[in-house]
Amino acid sequence: MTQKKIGLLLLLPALLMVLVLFLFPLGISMHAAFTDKQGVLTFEHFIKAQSLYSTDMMFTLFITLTASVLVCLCSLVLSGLMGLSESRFLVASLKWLYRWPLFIPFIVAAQCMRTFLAKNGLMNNSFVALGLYEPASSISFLDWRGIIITFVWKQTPFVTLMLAGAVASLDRSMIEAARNLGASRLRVMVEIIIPQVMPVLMVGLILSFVTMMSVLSVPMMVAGSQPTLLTVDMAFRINSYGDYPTANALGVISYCMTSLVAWFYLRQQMRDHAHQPM
Amino acid sequence: MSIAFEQLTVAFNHKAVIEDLSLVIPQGCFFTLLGPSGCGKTTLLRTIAGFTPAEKGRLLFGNKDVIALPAHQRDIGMVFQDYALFPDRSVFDNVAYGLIARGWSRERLRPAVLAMLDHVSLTGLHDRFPAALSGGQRQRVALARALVIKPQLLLMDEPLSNLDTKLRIQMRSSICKLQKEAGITTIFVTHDQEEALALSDLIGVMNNGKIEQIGSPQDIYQTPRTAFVANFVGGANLMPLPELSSPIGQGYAQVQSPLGPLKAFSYHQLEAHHACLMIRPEDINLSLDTGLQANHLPCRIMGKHYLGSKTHYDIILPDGTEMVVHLSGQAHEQFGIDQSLFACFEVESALLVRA
Ligand SMILES: Nc1ncnc2c1ncn2[C@@H]1O[C@H](COP(=O)(O)OP(=O)(O)O)[C@@H](O)[C@H]1O
Ligand SMILES: [Mg+2]
Repeated sequence: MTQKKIGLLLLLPALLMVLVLFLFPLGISMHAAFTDKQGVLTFEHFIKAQSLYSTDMMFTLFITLTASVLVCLCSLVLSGLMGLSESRFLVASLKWLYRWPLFIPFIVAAQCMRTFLAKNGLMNNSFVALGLYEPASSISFLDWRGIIITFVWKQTPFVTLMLAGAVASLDRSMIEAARNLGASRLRVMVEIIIPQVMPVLMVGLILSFVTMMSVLSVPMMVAGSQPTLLTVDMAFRINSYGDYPTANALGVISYCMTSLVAWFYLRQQMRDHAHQPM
Repeated sequence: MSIAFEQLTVAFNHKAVIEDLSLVIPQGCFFTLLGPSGCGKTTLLRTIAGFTPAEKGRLLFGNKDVIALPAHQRDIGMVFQDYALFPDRSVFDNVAYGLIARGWSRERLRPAVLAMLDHVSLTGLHDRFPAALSGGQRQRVALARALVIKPQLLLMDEPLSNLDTKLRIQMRSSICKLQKEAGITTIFVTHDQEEALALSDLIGVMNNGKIEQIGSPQDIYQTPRTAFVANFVGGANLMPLPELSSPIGQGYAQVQSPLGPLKAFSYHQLEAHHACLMIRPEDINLSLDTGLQANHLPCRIMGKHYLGSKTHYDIILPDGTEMVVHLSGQAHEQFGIDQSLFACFEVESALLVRA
């Protein structure tokens, strides 16, 4: 047998897995999203999804994009501190602390946030106890803010994990050269480190975007019913009405949103490569 | 600007790597820190640059103590051993970086950067990226990047160690020329004694975090103060001496060696204990009789290595001390292994140093 055939054979199980567990169901739901009961091509499910859930689509995009931006900022700050701070204590404690949310499932995180962010939850109680405001004026964060806070809390460690690794693998002396040439630590972060870890940061953010798009427990538990994320709508269509076609149409729309983000990233990558000879 | 250290101590995990170092480097001086690997040269340089904090002591630039200043406010140019160029920036942008950080506009810095690139013979390469440069060219980009900011002090950490021999000698003279033209006080780190002797105004020979001797290249080579300096710079035969009855002053001295009395010379005051006799391999002559020189010790030839312009002999003295002798010329060609003869040397070649 030739090398090539052996290679194909070894690849076969993985290909089968992708085919059976991903492409096949994807094809079926795509098909279901675009056909009516008679199997004729139609856009009625999309029109229905649009008329029922257009607010939720915007809401989903708003929540996931805002959370991604915040995750980006937080992970940059954390990995920057861990990479550049001269305080050994700070670096050691950050390294120890930041990973914890990674080990906590979304549903548990959502439950924690419920007790933390509620009107009489830990956060408000602490602020009231500190005398920052009156109990009467305390507000519940259990709405869109709660979802974003939970997402950021849960996803920042993931992106930071990737980013801190990338920062640590940069050439130290290059960072020192920039400092030596007169750049403050903030400047080194912005001008030297971020450009070089950008690919890793983007991959981390896209993976985390996809994760947030697919989380059901957080919007269900943390926020009220309206507006909410598309995952909740899909679950609702299926559980309450057995309405698979509309759920599938919503699924396709989620796919499009993630593909759009991935496409932006890939296009940017191509451009960067075209600019740089290395 | 002159640089001074006062009782500088640098430690890692409570273990001092540099201890109580005091030193003054005059304005415009090309100062070389010479020492074996691991003696603390890089640590000292990094402390000066502000990357490694000092445990205690002062670091004076002129008469300003900069020990508390962060690295980016010290106004020092540094050339790193591996150059540390920014891989995602062109040669031009690499060199311009320090000026941009100092708030120069693009129009203002452009002529300065191009002139500096001319200066280090990199004309026309400003659009290249570091990956597309040879080792010598990267080295010159690193040098240009450090010099273009007109720093008060230039630091170089073994900048030539990654180059091949020919390029190293070439770069050595261009570094020397650039430094003299710019008149920048420079601290150059190397473990290569030849480089140190060729480049420096002043050399500080470092061992185990301490500077053993500071002096001009001639001082260091001709009048070493310690056995370490003698051996590290130029190589030397060392003969430990039994404890002397009294301290030795400068000048001629009669010392008692295990092989009898020897006439020696001392450039430095020496305490009674820890004295050591050092003789350069090229200062010993081998002869069949006791000769005319002041000192002669019986010896036997253990090895002979012909090197063209000179021949190296390994000899052994009756008490088991081994020595190396470098002879040039042809007069000694008939000497062979196991032959017994005399190792002869002048008083001025038998230097007393601290062990
Ligand atoms: N970051 C560090 N942590 C602990 N020990 C270090 C560190 N850097 C250097 N050392 C130690 O300090 C000593 C001097 O190192 P260095 O200054 O790099 O020597 P040189 O540059 O002369 O070869 C060595 O024994 C080295 O192991
Ligand atoms: Mg070193």
